[in-house]
Amino acid sequence: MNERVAIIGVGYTQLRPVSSDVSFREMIYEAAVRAYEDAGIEPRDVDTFVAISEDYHEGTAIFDEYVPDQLGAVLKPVHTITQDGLTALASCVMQIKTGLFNIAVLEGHSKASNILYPSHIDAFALDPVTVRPLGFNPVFLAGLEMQRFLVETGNTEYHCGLVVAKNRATAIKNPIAAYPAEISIEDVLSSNPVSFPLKELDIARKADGAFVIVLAKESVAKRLSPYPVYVEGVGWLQDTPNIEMRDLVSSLYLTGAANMAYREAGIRNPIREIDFAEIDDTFSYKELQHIEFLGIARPGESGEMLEEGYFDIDGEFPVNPSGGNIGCGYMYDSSSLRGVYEAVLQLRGFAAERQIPDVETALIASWRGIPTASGGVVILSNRE
Amino acid sequence: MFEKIEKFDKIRVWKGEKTGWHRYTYGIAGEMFFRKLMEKKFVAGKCPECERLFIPPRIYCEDCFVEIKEFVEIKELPRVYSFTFLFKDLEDNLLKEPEIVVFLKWDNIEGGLIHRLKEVNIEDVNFGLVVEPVFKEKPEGNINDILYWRPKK
Repeated sequence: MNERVAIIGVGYTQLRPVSSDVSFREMIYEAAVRAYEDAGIEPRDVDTFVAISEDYHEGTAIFDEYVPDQLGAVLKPVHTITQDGLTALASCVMQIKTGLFNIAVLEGHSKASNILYPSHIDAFALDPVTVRPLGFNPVFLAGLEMQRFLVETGNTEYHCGLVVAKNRATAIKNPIAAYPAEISIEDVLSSNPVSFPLKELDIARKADGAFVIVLAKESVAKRLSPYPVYVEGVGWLQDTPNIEMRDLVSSLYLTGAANMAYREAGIRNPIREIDFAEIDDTFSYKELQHIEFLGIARPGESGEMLEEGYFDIDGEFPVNPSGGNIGCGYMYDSSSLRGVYEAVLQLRGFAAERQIPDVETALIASWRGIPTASGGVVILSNRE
Repeated sequence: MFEKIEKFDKIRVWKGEKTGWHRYTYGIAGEMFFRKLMEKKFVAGKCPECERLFIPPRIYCEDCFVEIKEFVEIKELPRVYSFTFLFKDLEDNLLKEPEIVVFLKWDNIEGGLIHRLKEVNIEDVNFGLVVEPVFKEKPEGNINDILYWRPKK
């Protein structure tokens, strides 16, 4: 099938630090109802469903069995991907591209506040023989990487503080964000050390919420939606799982995923041909590292460009107009779906107070978090 | 949307936990590494194709994807490649004293080891610092046979 694939519906819930009043199913249901309403469809119109989840984050074994009911997907083809949201989006695109499916639905959620000891779960992901027996809180890995990255590139803790101040402030204009705030760079620099140089405010705090996204092949999308947003390119890959084999400076997973997506989208010069980006900022330094390894800034130049306002919402290349994970809240593998949601709003011209004028092409880039070196890239556009 | 719960005292939760018990076998290369560690020695695997050495050793080269059969003892000491001062335990409580977590690399060897550094002034912790292992009296064949690393004396 040569038709493009478009996003024709997006549904969300408010992102919140805690959500004791709703179950994860009710959150997904709320986002699904909104997405189907937005796309002008009923669940019976959907041909295939893809969900993302990780058993240990859900606290339930074989969690993929818990997916169908709240999506209207009982007795429909459903599968779960235990990977980042953009990899799941790629799966929807590939299924539609087979020509066998017209409409696909993608679901991702986070009930992070239900996890009583999240660091234990992250630690369980460390190599059980060479690293886990040391008993460290796995956040050490971000500390090690931040240290080496800053020294090698010449970016500074001040620049990292600036990332935090920018994203928390940008989130003030995003009604779904969980952590909007006016904070200063000094607040970040003087916050408690966690794994020095990584400090408390450098780390995105977790949020609960859900996103549901409806995709369709171009001919169906044009019939159903007055403002389809096209998936022009997707890429995803994993670097080595062996921490010792990484240089703790580069994020090659994003360089590779971006090259894959740029090639498909026909993008040669990302900074000229893309108008804005939603980029993983789970730790402040990660935004800078990811900007550089996506080819948006030259190595070592992201911090200075940030200082000049280049990546501000009204700058030349806005990064994280939603407020990013730092401003909106970290949702594990579903974080990147917030990026997709934001990009769709921007490309439709529906981002209200934080609308970036005249945007046509968006980049979304994800990272799977500690201790992974996996990521995905999606290029979206509103061009007919 | 649907009606929401407004009163906090109406909210109930069930707390559950899941404990897993596992055994993790080391495999051919891992046995080689940890048996040598019990003798207070370090071995690396040597790729027959690219001829690079790897620590910890594996029975394949992840770049060339060929089998590694040669294991070489490494007599040199590693250097600190990166370090961090870790303040939190696994329950995210403050540690009584921060741990110095280090990523150690040997010159001209791929890979390295994550471990802890002690007997050092914080100001002296830096990239390139050569360190030596302090072993447990009775090694058992696991990564904690190394109690910690300290600057080379």
